[in-house]
Amino acid sequence: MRKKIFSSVFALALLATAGWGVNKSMSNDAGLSDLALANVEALASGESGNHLPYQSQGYCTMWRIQKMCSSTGAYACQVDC
Amino acid sequence: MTKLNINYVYIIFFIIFFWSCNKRQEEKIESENKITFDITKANDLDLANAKDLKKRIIELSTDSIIIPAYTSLLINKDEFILYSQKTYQIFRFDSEGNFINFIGKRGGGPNEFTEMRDVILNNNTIEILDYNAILRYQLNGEFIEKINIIYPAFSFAKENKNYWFYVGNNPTFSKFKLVQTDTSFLKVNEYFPIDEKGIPLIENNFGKNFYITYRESLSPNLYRLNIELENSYYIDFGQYKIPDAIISSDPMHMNEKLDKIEYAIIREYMENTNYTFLLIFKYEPNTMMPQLFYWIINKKNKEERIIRVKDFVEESYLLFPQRISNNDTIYFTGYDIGNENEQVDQNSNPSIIEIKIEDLFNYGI
Repeated sequence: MRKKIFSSVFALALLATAGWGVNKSMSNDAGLSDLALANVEALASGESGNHLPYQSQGYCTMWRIQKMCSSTGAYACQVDC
Repeated sequence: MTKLNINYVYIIFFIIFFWSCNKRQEEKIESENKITFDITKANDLDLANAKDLKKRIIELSTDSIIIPAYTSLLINKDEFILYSQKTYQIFRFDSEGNFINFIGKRGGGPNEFTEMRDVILNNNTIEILDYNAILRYQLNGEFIEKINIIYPAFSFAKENKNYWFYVGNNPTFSKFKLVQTDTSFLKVNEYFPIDEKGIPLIENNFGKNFYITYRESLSPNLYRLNIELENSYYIDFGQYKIPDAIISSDPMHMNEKLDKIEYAIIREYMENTNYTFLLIFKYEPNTMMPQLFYWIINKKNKEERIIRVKDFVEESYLLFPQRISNNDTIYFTGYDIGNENEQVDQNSNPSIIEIKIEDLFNYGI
């Protein structure tokens, strides 16, 4: 009886960890699709008017980190160099 | 051990096994190579003294082309490749500074790039990192191919059979900032978890010298890329360390917080077999321009020198160390001016300036 219980617990643990791994991997793939969409939008926007839609930061003047816009990212650009 | 306990051990073992398979490599790599930035050891180098440094000046001669300021330099055997991310131009010069040809062109055509995010030399070809592609050209400017990539990277490098892409904080793409791929651009590894609320920091992260190196401005860790990521140095900035509270603060207000404190960052990390060369920027509150320091480490005997570039004149070559060669020469780009009031002819091109690192190392002794 005890052997059966432990076998069941073991199988459950195995399923749970495998399931968690698959779920994690699936959610990463979803991120890629979002990115592809975002990139297509950014590229289209960049080609039409050189508008850089995403907030980034960088060395606008070589000497100091400042806020700047770029064609990739996650958040809408509010402040450019 | 009873049968019951053995079953527990099996269960725990398998849970740990599956958990570790899913866990990716994370940023926390402890370094045994901590080095301390001791500003009290610095020697001052001013423009007048720099005039007297032994150097070779390679004037860039072109018939009608003006090379923009702040161009970046690559060295291919006895040729120089200069590229400007402001004007999207790549220039090729011979060893004497004579212009040979342009490489690549910005535009919407199939052989053209829209962005010049980074440029590398790879087996006598030039590779340009575009928005979502790598464009490859012969040195004579002839287009070879355009390879679409999925990595929206801001900088890249190649070592051995690996490409490394820095994508920065970009939660729409990845949970990691640095991606390593094979030459088919298939993902091999990911490093450095992003800050989900962070924004990308666009900069040139890779040192492209004998060793391919990696750094981020706001991190004290430096890395050598040699098939794997090797934590080469941890910089102890002491009182000039950026507080963790500022690094993890709202990215839209981080700059304002940095403006109010005194801190130091690593802006360039170059390394060959004999020397490590670091360019340090040290900021004081409410000042736009940083103080510049060269920090040179002789890897053979562990001796080090810190040199403060005393005069901050934007045209001076001293502000732009670019490459360290295998024969221990540092290459700068800019103008060899002798004092703050010296005017630079706006119609003249900057020069490439070679200085033996030993001469810099022994400066002021």
